Amino acid sequence: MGISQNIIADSSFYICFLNDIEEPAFLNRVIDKFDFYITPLVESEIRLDDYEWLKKNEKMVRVGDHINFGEILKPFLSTKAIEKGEHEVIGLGYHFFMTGLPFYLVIDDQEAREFVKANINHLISFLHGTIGFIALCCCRFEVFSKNEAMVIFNKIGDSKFRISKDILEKIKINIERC
Amino acid sequence: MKDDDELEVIEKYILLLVGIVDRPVPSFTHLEKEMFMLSKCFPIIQECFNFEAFHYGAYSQALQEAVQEPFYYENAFKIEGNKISLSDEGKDEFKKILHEGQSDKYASELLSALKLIRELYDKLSVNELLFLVYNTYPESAKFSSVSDKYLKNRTLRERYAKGLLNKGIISKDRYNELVI
Repeated sequence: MGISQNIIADSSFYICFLNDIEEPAFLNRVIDKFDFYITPLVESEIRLDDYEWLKKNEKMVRVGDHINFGEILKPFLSTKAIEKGEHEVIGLGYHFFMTGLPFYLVIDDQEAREFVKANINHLISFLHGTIGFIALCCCRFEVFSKNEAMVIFNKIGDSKFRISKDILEKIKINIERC
Repeated sequence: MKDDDELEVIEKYILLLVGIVDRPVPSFTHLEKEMFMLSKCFPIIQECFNFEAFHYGAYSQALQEAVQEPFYYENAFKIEGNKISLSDEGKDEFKKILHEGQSDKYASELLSALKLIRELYDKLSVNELLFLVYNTYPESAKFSSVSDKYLKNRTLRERYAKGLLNKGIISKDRYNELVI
């Protein structure tokens, strides 16, 4: 399947694999399938420097700080969201939308998601959470088998990743049906 | 004093900011603060405009002069009341600048930033705009003669923050930070 998709994810996506469920190999497999654009604050939030293999993956595009779309969003978001780099992720997503590049915007932070829905609603159709994106990786992009996706979801359910049991169960049912 | 080349660049940036959406910039305060936000996003722009702390916060003398008495794009701007838009001549110049600049490094990034700024900041009232900018960049309010209203007056702070919260522009967490 010749896909050329770009992913802009907030820190919780990476942290889910690296720390919450401790499955870096699964993360590597997802990254190999797409082009992942990572912003400076997300880099520092996930401690990218501690993961040489991740830094060296050519599918990880480090966007740098010569242009910071996030500054435009800074006045609207809380310090907590800013420190996690949510403003940078939304800003870069907007740029991808404007230039017509295909992309998925993976954001779990509730405040950032609500801001997008209320103020930049043309990004809504590109917006996913980590769980939903993992389901896509299984059902649409065949990065994971159904069994592997179930293993990931079960581990997420037992981890400190913040997701309601209801949503997780619904996603599992969807995976079985896809 | 700006040299000629720099002046032309300044006028081009203003033309782009005003022309990127098909509605007037709501006020001169919006124009100043929206360009200030662009300079935060593109540090190279800061060098052109020299935003300085002033009576109404971050202020660029060059920007004011370029809109009121443009040198290179003499008839480009239309000022009606407090609103700034492009004249027909300005719209033609806007298209020309877009066409000539499409191969520039960062041209698409610049257009995305301009569009996002207009999309978010045009819908703020002048009070909401100053309230958010002063609180996010308090250093820009250093010499402001009106900043107390936005930084120190608890009643007004609550009023502006509540308005922004009700419009869905800020979250409850941001609201709590702004009213402290």
